[in-house]
Amino acid sequence: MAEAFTSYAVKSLSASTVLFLVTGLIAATGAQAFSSHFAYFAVASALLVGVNVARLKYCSGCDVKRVGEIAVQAGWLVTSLSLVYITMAPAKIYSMNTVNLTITEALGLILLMIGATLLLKTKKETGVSLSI
Amino acid sequence: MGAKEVKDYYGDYATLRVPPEERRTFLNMLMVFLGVLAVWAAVFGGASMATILDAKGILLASILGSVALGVIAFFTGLIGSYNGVSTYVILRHSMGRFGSIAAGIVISGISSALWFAFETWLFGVIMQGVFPDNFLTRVDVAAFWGGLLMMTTALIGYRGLAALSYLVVPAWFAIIPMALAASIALKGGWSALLAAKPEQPAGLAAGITFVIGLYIVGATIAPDVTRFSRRPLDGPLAWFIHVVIFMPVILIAGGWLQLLSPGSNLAAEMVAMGMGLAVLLTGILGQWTTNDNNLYSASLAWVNAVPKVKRWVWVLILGLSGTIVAVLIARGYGISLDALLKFGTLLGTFIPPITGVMIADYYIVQPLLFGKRDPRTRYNFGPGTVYGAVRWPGVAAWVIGSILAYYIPKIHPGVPGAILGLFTGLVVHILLMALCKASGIPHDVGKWVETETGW
Repeated sequence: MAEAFTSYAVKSLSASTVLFLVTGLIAATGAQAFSSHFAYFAVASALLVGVNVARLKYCSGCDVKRVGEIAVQAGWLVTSLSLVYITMAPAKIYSMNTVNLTITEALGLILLMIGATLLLKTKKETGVSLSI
Repeated sequence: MGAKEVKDYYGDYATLRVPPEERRTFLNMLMVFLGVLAVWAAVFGGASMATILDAKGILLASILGSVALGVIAFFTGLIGSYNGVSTYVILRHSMGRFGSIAAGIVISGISSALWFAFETWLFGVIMQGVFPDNFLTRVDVAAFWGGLLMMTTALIGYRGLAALSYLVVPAWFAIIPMALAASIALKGGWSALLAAKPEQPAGLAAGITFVIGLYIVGATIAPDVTRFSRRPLDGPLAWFIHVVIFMPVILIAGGWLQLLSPGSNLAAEMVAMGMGLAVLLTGILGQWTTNDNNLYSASLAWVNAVPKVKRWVWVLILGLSGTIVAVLIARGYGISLDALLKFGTLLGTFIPPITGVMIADYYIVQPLLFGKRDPRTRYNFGPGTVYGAVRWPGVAAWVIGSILAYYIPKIHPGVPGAILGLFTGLVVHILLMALCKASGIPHDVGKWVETETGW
């Protein structure tokens, strides 16, 4: 059970890492001003989530509770950081065009759903509290 | 807790040791502490420094003041993580049972409850500032629903505080630096910032004192959170990192922006930059993660003070009254915000000596005077434990420290009251306890035996 769940968590978080980079790239190229801010944020987010992917892989022999702990912490991270794209991208200061803004918002929402799903599934399958 | 099973009558281990299965990780502690820090009031606190310090001074004062706070709360936090009990229960050993009741009420029972009311009112102000033409975001209406909202996680207890902090903290600490960077760039960039001068320049010491004063209460009540530490160093290190790395970021954000553009504030700047959604997120959730901690600590203090009333009942009582006070302030119904803040600041003067007594007792008096070297067994807790009803050296040190911290800065404005109070409490407690030991004078007046519920 622990291995199957670890595999799921690693896939979710790897997908999130890639999505953070893609979303950051789109936001950075789409923003007419301060585009570097989105680029830095994307790299930092991808790194933080990437560290958790490494923690899970390193922890492949751990029991399900330990895996669950890491997954919960990483799930909150993805959920929280997705809110940055959702709330910051529409700011007029970045002058993002409609297409880029729509894509950034959509990807932000997808990241939000990935994070929330990971949290709920972790709680259900490992019994680990969401406030671990 | 030993072999004897004790029922958690008050809830959330308010009077008991937190059992091993309920202990939390380092990251969990870090998130809860950062949740306390993630609040607009901290940014506004940083802005206050811009009237006395330039950009370099704000940077240095923020870092040095934060390091001092980090060290102070490392010591208080470690007491909490070794013993697994709240600040107010820890104080039973250094001040006696009734001393701990009085100190707990001053530290959190009243001042944290007042801060809850103030932050709830401030929440309303921010909401109206962001959305001025909406009934739901009118100061009084927003203060009402905001106060109720902020009670919910405190009602759940530590689990509620932690889950909300996990959600809010990463986003908050990404949004605020992004907003600050954009705002500084718009206002002339780094060169303009380095050239900006404060209105009434003062020394670096004043800035450091200000920073310590901002969060000394938080440093004192760190055990309320670190008691949940899985390993002894988890909580204290989480405190140290949150205050040394993240607190300067917030203070500098507020201070530098104020220096560049006097009279402005970051929330208003963000709205002007079209970041209304981000202000809403950081305003609602950030205020929430801080204010639920205020209410949580206040409820723990009152549980230690009044028998039989459960923790969640205290959260309801204090939360509802704080919300009503915030609404009344917003509507201008005869409650003076100034008077409340003055009262809160006055109580703040009386808190650092308690911190000094707590640190002195655990790290100096118990190991050096009473030979209790092992920090894990230095203090006993649990049903049947005998405490002094009043441990007079601790109470006297608190009183003397408070008097000096209150009056000396009035005579010599350059003397930092908070630091003076802390060191006076620390030194006087050690001296009086040593005197008692050397002369055979009893250090306790009366005795108190802990009940089955930990009261």
